[in-house]
Amino acid sequence: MDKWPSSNRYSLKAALMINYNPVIPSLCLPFLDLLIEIMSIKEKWLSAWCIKPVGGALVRQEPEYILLALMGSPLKKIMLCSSEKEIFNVEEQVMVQHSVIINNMIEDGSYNHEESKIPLDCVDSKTLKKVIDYCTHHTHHQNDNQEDLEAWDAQFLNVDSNGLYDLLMAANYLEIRNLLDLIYGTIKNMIKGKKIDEIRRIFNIKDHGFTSEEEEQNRKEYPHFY
Amino acid sequence: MDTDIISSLPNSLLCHILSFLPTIDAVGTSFLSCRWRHLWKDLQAFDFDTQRIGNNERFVSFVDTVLSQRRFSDIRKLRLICGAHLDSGNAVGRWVRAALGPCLQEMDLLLYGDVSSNYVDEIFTCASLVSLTLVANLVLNNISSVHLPLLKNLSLGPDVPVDLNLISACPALEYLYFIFDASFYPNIHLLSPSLKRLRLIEARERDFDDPIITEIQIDAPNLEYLRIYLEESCVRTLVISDFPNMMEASIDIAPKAEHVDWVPKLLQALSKTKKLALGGFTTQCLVKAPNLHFPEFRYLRQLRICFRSFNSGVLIKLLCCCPKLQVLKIDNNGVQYFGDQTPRTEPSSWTQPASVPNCVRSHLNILEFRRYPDSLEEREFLAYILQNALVLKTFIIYTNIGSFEKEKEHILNEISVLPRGSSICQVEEFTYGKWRL
Repeated sequence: MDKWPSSNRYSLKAALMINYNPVIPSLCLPFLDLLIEIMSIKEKWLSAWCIKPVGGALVRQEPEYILLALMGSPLKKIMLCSSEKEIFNVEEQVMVQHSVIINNMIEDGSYNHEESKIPLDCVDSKTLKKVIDYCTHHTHHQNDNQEDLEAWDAQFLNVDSNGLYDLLMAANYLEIRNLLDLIYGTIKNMIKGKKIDEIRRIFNIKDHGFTSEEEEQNRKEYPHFY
Repeated sequence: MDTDIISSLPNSLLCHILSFLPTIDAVGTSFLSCRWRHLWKDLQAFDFDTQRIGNNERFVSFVDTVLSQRRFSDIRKLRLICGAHLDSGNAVGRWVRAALGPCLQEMDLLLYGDVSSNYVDEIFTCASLVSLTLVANLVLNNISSVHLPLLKNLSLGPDVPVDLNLISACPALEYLYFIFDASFYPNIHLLSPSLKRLRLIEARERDFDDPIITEIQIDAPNLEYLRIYLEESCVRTLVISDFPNMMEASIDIAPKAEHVDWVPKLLQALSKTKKLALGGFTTQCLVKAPNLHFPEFRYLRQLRICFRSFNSGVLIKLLCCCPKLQVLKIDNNGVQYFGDQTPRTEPSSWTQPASVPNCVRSHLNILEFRRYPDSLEEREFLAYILQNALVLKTFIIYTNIGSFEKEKEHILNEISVLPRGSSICQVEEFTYGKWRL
């Protein structure tokens, strides 16, 4: 969130003129562009002032709210297209926050908001919907308790191994770091502290490929693993 | 029917997942199937804990075998939880030295027993380290030189007699967890412009008289999280910088006369915090302070305050200084009355405040009262809050674990008839059991 695309400057002027007692007198409007360059906007300011946009309109919350306008409309949406050609509308802010790939695409300007959709040929609709669900929840609930977030994550990953694999591939492709780490953690927990027979069952390893003598010897020499 | 999904994942990904496991589990996967047989050998992160193996001799042989069979000589992470002296050869030193190198990013050593530090010096000059934990009993006086330009996380254990200029020698340090035995540290000076999280915990290893710390100095203007826990030592002076970025602070200090002087200064430095937790003894120091003057906690949203002896006056005074408070959690850790014992009958020191604190009227959402003893002062305070908290959503009350059902019912009945200013307030009752920290 360090770069502010030029389209956002107009939002600030609009905000000042439409809604609101400007902090800066209207005579200074020409200098606004300069002001935006000088002010160093830090992400933490927004969370400190708990700014919540209502509907699509710019609603006055507190005098400090001027910064909301600088962020541009948080409800700007982008279109993601799954491998099954289904279109999903998502808040730009949500995907940009989580997916490195989508963030890069939007930042370098190759995405045109009016027309283009982002094609995700490796991700099917069911998985894409889940991924969007994850990103949306984590953006909207980022100030929640750690325990509540973890409980939601555990529930979210309560899927079969096919689903888990698809999520892993999607998260990897879109480079969603925290979802990847979450899935790695889940797979790790399927192994940690478990006996070989149980892990084989969980991962559905039918044919271990050892000769029966090898397998027997392993079991004899290292019984505590089994 | 589920297919074997794991097989379609590339080896590098499986190995990455293995690196999060204790090494003994990672090595155990070699029995899963042919494909897994040699995967663990690509590991560059190791986590060895004697607890899983028990016997020192077998532990040494296990670690030696694993390290000798690894494919890559560079080790990125080494964690060792074991005795400092496992055998006659310097096993721990051998393993630490094998790990030290330009790729080592994380080292965690939790060693029991005395360590003569012939390898410790080398650890403190391993320039690639990002994360270091050293909980050990070092018999050396000082670490001679420190060069840790990339170090972000540092945890130091109770008997590490390190000159605290070490902290200033780590320019990128963001997280410091310092467990110290106060008898070793007559002064604590922490200067770090990069520090974001600090935990300063006193641990009493030896049974000396209450130690005295002449001065604690914390100069870390970027601090976001602070936890101070002083069990018994007496700190004469505190020099503290302002913390404009503070998000969460938790303070537990011993009730000494000297502390009464500087606790207000500490609160002033923490005035920008969003969450604050004050331990029972800390509050006691506040109560004893003459002319107590709280700073304005302009951004405070959550307050957790523990009382040894409930003092509504101090609490109201504090609430007046927290204009945006949303969550208030009170814990009454004083003398409790059980069963048929009569509650305190001394006159309550509750006085009606001149005006309703702003946060109570317009911001307070959640009120929690632990170990509610149902005596006069607490009841009057509660009645006042419930009546004036116009936006209160949830009120949670924890009764004592020793209370009988009758008593709990009595308390709940009393509370449910108290007039409530907020129409959406829900009351929940629990029996006080475990702390949820």
